[in-house]
Amino acid sequence: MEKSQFSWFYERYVQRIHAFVYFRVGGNRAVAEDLTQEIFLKAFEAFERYDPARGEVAWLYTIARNHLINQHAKMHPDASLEEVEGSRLASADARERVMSDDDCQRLLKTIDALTEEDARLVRMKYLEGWSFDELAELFGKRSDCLRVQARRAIKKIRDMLL
Amino acid sequence: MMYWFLKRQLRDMGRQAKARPEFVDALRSTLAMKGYVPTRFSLRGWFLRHLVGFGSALAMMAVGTTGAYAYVSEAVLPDHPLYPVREAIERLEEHAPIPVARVKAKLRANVAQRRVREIQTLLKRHRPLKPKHVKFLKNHPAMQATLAPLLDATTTRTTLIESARSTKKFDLYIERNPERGTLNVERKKEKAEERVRRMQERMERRREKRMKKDLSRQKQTPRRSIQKTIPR
Repeated sequence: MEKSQFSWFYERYVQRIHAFVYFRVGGNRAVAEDLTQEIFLKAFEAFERYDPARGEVAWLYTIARNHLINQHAKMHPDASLEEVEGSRLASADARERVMSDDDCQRLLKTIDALTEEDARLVRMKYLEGWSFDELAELFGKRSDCLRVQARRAIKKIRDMLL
Repeated sequence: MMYWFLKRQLRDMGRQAKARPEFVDALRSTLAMKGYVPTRFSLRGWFLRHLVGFGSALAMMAVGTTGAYAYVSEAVLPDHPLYPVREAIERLEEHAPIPVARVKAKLRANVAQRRVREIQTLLKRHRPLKPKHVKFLKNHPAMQATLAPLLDATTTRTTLIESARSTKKFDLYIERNPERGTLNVERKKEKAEERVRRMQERMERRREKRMKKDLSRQKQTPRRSIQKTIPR
């Protein structure tokens, strides 16, 4: 792909990637902005190698995720691979500091209590603002299936909160 | 309810995570230094993207303005093209599920007042009343009393006859007032005959004119087809 076409990519995904990083760094805006910048610079460098057949969301999401994992690995060199995979760059304290609203904290904790896929789906759909079609590409499922899955996940959250 | 509330709460949280516009611009310029070409703002593209929105907004504005004009304006009388719009709005108003009886009564009173104003304007302009108005007057004897001076002073025979006819009471009216009815009918007949006579005269004149033209053309130049067939 030509680099001139990257502008479309940037305008479309900058907010979502920022939101994706923001919740993984415990709502620390400065860190989220630094990481988002690094992710986009990386994506821009690698854009010539981007294969459109692979899916743009999956490609960018993979770059963002790998970048976060690398950052986590740098900060915690002794961590095992499993820990790095489910990485959150911010500690629980930092999360509590930034997301000071009780309801938000409770909600985030409830989301974490869901199965990994459900939690990821809810986070990406409602917190980060990805559309079901984009998520379908990422999850490798049909968008209507994801719609049902998201609805069930929200129902579970409701039951847990009640 | 809870489902909707949860989704809303999650979306509100998501809104907090939006990147600041300054950051987005700064990152764009950082990328530009590396060779990134920012998209040019295209007015056409922007317009096309918002075409549906623009269209529906314009349509809604047009509908709203027309409805408001039809409802409020005193100039919208039964022979006005927007009168059906007013009627539709009034019908909606009448059938609206308003639980408070006082408000409903006030709305009905407003409609009645508007109807009286319409009747007054129609009578002042010597226009025939519509069946709706006649029915209204019949149902509200008090209003009849209010409008009585106006009816006596300004109503012409035609207005009354037209109104009566429109309410399918024409025959009854003729029965009660045979002189007026016959007078009016005769006058109408005369008018119609005069109109027919004028039209016939006009047609006759046109026909003569056309015949004269044809004759003069035939005298001046022979037909082309005949010219062609003449051997040299």
